[in-house]
Amino acid sequence: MCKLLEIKSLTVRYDGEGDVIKNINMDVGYKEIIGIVGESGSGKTTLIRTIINLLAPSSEVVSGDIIFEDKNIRKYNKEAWRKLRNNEIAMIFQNPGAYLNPIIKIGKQFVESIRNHRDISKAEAIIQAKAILEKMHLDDSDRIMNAYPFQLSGGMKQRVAIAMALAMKPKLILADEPTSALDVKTQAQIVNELISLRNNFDTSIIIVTHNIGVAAYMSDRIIVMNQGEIVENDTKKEVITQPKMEYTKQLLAAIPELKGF
Amino acid sequence: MKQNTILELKDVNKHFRDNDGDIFKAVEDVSITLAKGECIGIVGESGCGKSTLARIIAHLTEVSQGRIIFKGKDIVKLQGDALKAHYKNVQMIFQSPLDTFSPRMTIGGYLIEPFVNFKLMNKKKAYEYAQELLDMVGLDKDYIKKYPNELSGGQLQRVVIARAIGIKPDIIICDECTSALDVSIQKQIINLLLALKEKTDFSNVFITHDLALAESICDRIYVMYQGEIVEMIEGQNIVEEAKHPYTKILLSSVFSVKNFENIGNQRIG
Repeated sequence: MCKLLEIKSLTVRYDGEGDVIKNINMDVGYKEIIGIVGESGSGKTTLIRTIINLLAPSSEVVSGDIIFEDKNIRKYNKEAWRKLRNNEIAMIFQNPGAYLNPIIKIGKQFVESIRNHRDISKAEAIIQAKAILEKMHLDDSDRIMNAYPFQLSGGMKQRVAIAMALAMKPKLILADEPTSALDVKTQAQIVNELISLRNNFDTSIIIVTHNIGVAAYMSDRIIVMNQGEIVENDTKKEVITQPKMEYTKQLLAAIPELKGF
Repeated sequence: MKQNTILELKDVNKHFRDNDGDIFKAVEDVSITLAKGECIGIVGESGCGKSTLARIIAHLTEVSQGRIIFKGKDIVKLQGDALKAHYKNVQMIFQSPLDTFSPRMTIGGYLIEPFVNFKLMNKKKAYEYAQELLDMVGLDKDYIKKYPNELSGGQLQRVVIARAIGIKPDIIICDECTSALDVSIQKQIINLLLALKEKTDFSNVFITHDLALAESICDRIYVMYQGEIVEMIEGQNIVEEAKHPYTKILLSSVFSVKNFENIGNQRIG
């Protein structure tokens, strides 16, 4: 099977901290959902920020290649990245409140983000934005478009952020802890939205989460990271029922479970 | 009412008024009891009133209506010295440890604060006690010289626990005290809390949205929805005992590693 994304021996270094991710090799297939789990500081976020070229200035890619649809995107310049980001690869962050501009209405932000990438009129962009919001089960799209971010709940904001990421129909969505700021019920809704994204639009998804339950529920494959390295990379069934590494076993054992399940 | 009840809330209400003058009922007719040495859980989604309830118990938020009986006395109208004493009896551990610390205060400074403020001991004594407390929660004594940014989230939460327990309160309220931590660290913190509880026999109000976590450590669990207690689960098996439809919805939102295949299948169907 042809791969959508391939990462080859990727190493990223932070100033004064050494290598935060070391010799990472992984791939993402078309329509595939991959869950990356691990503790804080294991390099999960650095890995996906490297993929979308949003690393902090104090960090540097030491070696490795990132191949997206047979093109080495590591060598891309700013202009090429502007076209690629959001169009082909989009990212959803943990805290949607920090990502949305607090003093601009959702509608205006949404239309701007669409028109940055597509040469269409405002009226058309509004129609598109509303259609996507409704797909994310934000039914009262007029109210949402007219609201400021603070007027929406955390779950609604996250759905708006996903809708904005979705507007360009990207082939790959990178989600960095998209549900860890939300409570269980909203988390379940967002997770199901993400799954239906894959089912309806064939989007591949990399979800970074410390909630192994979420990863187990939605992904096809699970990657476990520890101290900057991939220690496990297999189908979710393998990783959960037959973990190879002691670290994975400990991680799984630390999760509280309901007795009745 | 049980003999050893330490805290009882009777029909407690808390109403907030928003900018338009509309009343928002954050907590409605809540009645709960807490016995000495008991651990009760309060679970529910964001905005259900869990944290408001915690703040009411700690007397950080005034109630609009209702009675709070602490050790046989109504504490709703407490003032002055009596209120100060109550603050000593009820300690709270919050979600984000970094937010509870002043970035420019050393761990030692943080630890000795209540003992000096409540005039329980002088500074020198308090520093010695602080070192004992650090030892108790498994941290090095040298940490008293460190600043919060030098510690990890799990370590900071240990320091918070050390201070809360050091003051020997009757009740410790944990408001999502592990939800900012990794599962492995969460396990360590929970084990620490349980071990200390064994030793000092405080009562515990444990607020969380993690049903599995609540089930594993609480004697009883109250399920809260839109400001009201909709169900109390007495035993230790939420899945079997849950009757209220809301509790069942909550349970269906839990992603279990154990059960990943079954849930996955439901989604496709």
